[in-house]
Amino acid sequence: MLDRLRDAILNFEIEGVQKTCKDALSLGMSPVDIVTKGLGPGLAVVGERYEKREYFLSELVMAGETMKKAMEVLDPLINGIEHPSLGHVVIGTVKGDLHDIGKNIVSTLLKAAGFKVRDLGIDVPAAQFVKECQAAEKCILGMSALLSVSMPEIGNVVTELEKAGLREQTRVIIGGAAVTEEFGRQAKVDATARDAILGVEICKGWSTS
Amino acid sequence: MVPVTDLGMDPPIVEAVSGETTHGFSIEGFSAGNIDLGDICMKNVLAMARAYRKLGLDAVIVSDESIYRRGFVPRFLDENTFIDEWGRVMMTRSETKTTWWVGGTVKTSEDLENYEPPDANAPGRMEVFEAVVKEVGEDMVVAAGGHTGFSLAWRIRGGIDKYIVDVYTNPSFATKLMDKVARACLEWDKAIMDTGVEMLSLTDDYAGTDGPFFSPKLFREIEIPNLKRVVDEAKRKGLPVLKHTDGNNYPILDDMIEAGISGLHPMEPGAMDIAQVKQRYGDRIFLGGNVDCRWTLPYGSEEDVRTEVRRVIDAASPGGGHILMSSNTLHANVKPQNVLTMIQEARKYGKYPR
Repeated sequence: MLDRLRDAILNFEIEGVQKTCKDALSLGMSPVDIVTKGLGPGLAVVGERYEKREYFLSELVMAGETMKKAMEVLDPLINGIEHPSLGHVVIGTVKGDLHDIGKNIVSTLLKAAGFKVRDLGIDVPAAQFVKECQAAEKCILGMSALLSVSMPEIGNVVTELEKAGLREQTRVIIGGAAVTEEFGRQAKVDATARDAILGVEICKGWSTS
Repeated sequence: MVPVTDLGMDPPIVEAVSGETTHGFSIEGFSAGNIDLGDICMKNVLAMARAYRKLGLDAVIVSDESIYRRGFVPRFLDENTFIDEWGRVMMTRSETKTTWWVGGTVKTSEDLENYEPPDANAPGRMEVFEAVVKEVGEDMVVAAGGHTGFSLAWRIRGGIDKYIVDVYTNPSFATKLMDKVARACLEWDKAIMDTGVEMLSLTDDYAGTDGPFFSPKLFREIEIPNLKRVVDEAKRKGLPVLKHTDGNNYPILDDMIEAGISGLHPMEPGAMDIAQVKQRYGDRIFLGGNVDCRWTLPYGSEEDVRTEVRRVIDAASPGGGHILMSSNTLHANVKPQNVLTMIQEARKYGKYPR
């Protein structure tokens, strides 16, 4: 069954994955195990192939979309269960920016890796990021910006976190086509991820450190 | 001397360098009934062309994304979001007077059946290009930015993620959409090339930082035939084609060159190496770029800009075949003073022989 779940992701079975998940549930697998031991490893293989440049954005998107389909069945079941997680992640695209493909892929990969993810969507004002980080008490904050004109908003969010006294306990990671390492240093974030796979690895590293 | 231009200049930069006023728009103006989007675009593009001339640049590139036919009144979805002539959902920001894509209108087979791209030969359609040629054509080269349709198609669809899912799960829909848009773009590019412009720049992005959006195999099926059609048409008319695409295009660069492109922009810093491309392909294509506009031009010091310009010229200019440009456009976040420094340093350092 674990192989079938993994293969559903590897073969981009966007139309069949929900049945595969239901079959796994009926065999007594827990929804958390379906994600972390079945689907998640499939996503990890896709990620490795992407990093090796054997796969491209199209394969990453298909794997992500297949995973999202699976999560439609599994999320309602997982949300009701207390389970250990790698930590809380609050993620969103900054105010003024409506692009979300990369952010959506990261969100999906983080869930599959075992994080509790609160995805705030797009055009997220600083106050909302701060409010969610406050509610999570300790979290990783992920921000995405595709447009150059949106980048100053990242610095704004970091400033608001400082004002709210949350900066110490919040690890901030940014990504998106517009951001660079130099900008990340200027904005005083903790990490700048050049792609979704690396972003997830950085978050996993923080979780275990 | 190394020639200098750029793919585009956002209104705040135009205003800062030229002192001219540019025009934004919002739903209020249209409700009042006194705005014509074609008229706004004409004024803004001419102001941009004059700014290029004031800066002493060697060419101006006018994007087909800037042009709307006279009398076009967009359908607004909210205060700042509207549907353009291509069926893209666009957002406009009054502070910067910039407009960018945020969504699409083709969601179903019925939408696709009913979809009509804008007519390249509508009366007055190309008058913006003609006006720029008339305004600055004696002082500089006038080039035009066009499309093959690749990026327009997935924008009209609502996003590349949606188009990717179509390619895998509904390939006939994906093919029909791309064909419809590509055929329209070919007509647009033909009409643009007849306005007196001297170069065509094709601006569909093919790649992200890590690589092309599609595998080379899929790219050859989806895009190469459309690229080749436009390039062949340009060759018939005697125009070179500068292919712009962000990101890491190494896996598909041979295919693009085989399709006949004349030049490549920008070899995005961090994704590609302009020196490497010069070494491998410099005898087959010219290079445009690639002064960094994600960090150096918006946030860098004067010395950062001068160092960056010298890096680019050292890498790409020896032997000729290089146009100095930014790594994308002179967008609204760029510091106007850094634009002046970039041009100044290019004129000082970019001398031949080298």
